[in-house]
Amino acid sequence: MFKSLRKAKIVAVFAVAGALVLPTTPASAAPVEITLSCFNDLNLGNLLKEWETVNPNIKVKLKTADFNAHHDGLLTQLIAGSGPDIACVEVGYTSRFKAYPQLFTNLGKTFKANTLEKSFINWRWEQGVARDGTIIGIPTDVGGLAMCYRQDLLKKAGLPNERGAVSAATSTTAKLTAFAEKYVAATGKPFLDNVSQLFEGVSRQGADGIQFYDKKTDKIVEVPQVKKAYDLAATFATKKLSAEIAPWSSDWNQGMGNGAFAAMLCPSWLLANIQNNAKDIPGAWDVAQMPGGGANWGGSQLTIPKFAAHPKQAWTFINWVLAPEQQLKLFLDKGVLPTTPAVYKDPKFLAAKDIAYNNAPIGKIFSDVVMSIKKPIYEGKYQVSVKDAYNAAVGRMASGKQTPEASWAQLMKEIKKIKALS
Amino acid sequence: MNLKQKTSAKSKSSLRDGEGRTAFFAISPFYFLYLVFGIFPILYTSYMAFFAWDPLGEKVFIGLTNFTNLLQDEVLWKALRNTLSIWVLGTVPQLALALYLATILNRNRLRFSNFWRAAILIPNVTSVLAIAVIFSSLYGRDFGLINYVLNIFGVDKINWMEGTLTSHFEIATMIIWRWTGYNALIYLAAMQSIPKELYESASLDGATGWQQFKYVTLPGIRNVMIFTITMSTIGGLQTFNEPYILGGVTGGNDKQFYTLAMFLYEEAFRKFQFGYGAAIGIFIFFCVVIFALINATIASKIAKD
Repeated sequence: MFKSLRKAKIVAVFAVAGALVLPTTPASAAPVEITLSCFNDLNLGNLLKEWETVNPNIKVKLKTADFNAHHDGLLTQLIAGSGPDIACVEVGYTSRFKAYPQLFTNLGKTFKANTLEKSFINWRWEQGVARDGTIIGIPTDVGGLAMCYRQDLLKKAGLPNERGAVSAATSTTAKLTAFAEKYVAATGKPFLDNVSQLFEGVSRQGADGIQFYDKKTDKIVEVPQVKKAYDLAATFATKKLSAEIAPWSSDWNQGMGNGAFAAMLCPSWLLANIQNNAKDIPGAWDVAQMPGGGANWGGSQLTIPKFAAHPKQAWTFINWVLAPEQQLKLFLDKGVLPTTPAVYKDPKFLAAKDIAYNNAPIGKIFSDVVMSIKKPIYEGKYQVSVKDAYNAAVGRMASGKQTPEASWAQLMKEIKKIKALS
Repeated sequence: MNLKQKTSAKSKSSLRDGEGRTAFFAISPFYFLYLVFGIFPILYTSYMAFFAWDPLGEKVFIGLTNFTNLLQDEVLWKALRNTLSIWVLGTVPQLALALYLATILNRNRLRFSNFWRAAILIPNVTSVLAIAVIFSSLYGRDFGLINYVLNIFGVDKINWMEGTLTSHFEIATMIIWRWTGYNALIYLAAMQSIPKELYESASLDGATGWQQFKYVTLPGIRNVMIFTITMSTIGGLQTFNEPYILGGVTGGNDKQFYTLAMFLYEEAFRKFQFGYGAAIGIFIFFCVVIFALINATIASKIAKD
């Protein structure tokens, strides 16, 4: 009895397997589930719902983990010879994965992704290409840098609060410092959220595309722009112009809504976050130009790991979700800045005004920043470790634990250690 | 060997055959898993520690270089100091509190005792992330409840995770919160195995509650106490989750709450120095061995007394 039941089961399994293997009935193919693993949902919620009707045969299952844990875990998974069908990789971590192109499907060779290249922002596309030419990822979004500010608080402090006027009054880092000092003198409250964000933003303004790594030699270098950013951060810290609230902390989120600070650097992907935390004060925030000129900060790529179970289906989805039409929808829905410049000319894109940001034309503001960038920051294999060390140095100095000089000296020692790694 | 001995040996072994095989079969899954997930990784790690090991590239034998570099690395000693400090702050109050809670749970007159016994384990089975969210907002610098209360008593805002001792304190409280209930239940189980008659005769002799605790309860659960101390020492030397989630992967701007396990993680999985990471693993292993030996010596001494 038992034996015959088992036999029947085995037969059934083979029958099903046979049905899957035989290519006779492609039209009625069983639905395939692909996994998309990422550090958040990339704001794709509504698009994923739409995808269910566009292509019911490819179901997308989203798996998320904490930012660092996602990227660290992905590398371990890939080394061990497994991986999701689609993995998102943030720009800051991309260099680490680009050092191992053999772990990814070469989207150029396998799926002729190079035909898409011309519809993407040139330098943004390159960020997904390894040094040996392997296309490992297609860019999802781009982080143009601007400065968000509380127009209501500036007005109360007797300072200019109109977009153009604020941009003009803070057009250089020296002017920004003076502006912040005026605000602090008038209100007794800090101007900026924290200096680590300020350091990160300003250190990215090097005209030659060098922050921590030199593209030509692929080596870690120290450039004047980064030191300049560090000194600016030190000025803000010693003059107490910043609230020193750690980014991504609960105090930071609350501060966006309760006036703990009047300004913060805002890469475009941060807009949705500010909007969420400032729900009770619609129109209080506004957007001005980044002091010292535009820069790029952040953005992600979608990759297909070498060990993906369903690479074809994964590519079908990527191709759809990153097409200009979908990117426009994503911008109108969540303010995610597209990587396909054709969208920037779309009337709907240009007309988009955000009530949360005092009706600022955020599409126009951020796309102007992005289009003004010629050379993106080049990032190398140990980018993450170098960045961690710099951030820690800024933090030690900002908390008053060390003098700016002592903290810098310790930093240089740590950088030397990272340089010694192969 | 004479015949008599042989037959008796045979009958003994045939007796063992029947029971023994089933017994070995019953416990074999554990040993199989232990071989795959315990012994093999330990041996492989020891092997890796002698190489400059690029996970995807070359593996170059470099002898003891990883170990000599490690012992000269000031980060190692900082991580060791932090780990021990967090361990002391987290373990001593934890076990004392667990003992106290266990005595309360062991009282006959306690109402809803089953409910309390289950409830005390809840912090241990709650998601670490959920606990960390609560703890980091409790300890928030500007809007945290703890600073708010301290402020009433005139204490200035404390940036908990920024300071060395304050960050250790915050991490230790989370460890205490998670593991006190677990240890209390172990103590409770040990206390319940102490015969009631001992307490009865003690109280007939006029022993007070404290005397009963000191002369009946404590000796009765001594072995279990040694067990919990050893286990929390091993756990303490591997502290990773709490500092990682509360303060971040870098262990603080001045590495003020960077533990040994975080050091291993960063070297191996963020800088891809698998060989160096393996050497750190071996170092942690020897630390555990040393502490286990100390525990064992103290334990045997107590047993003799």
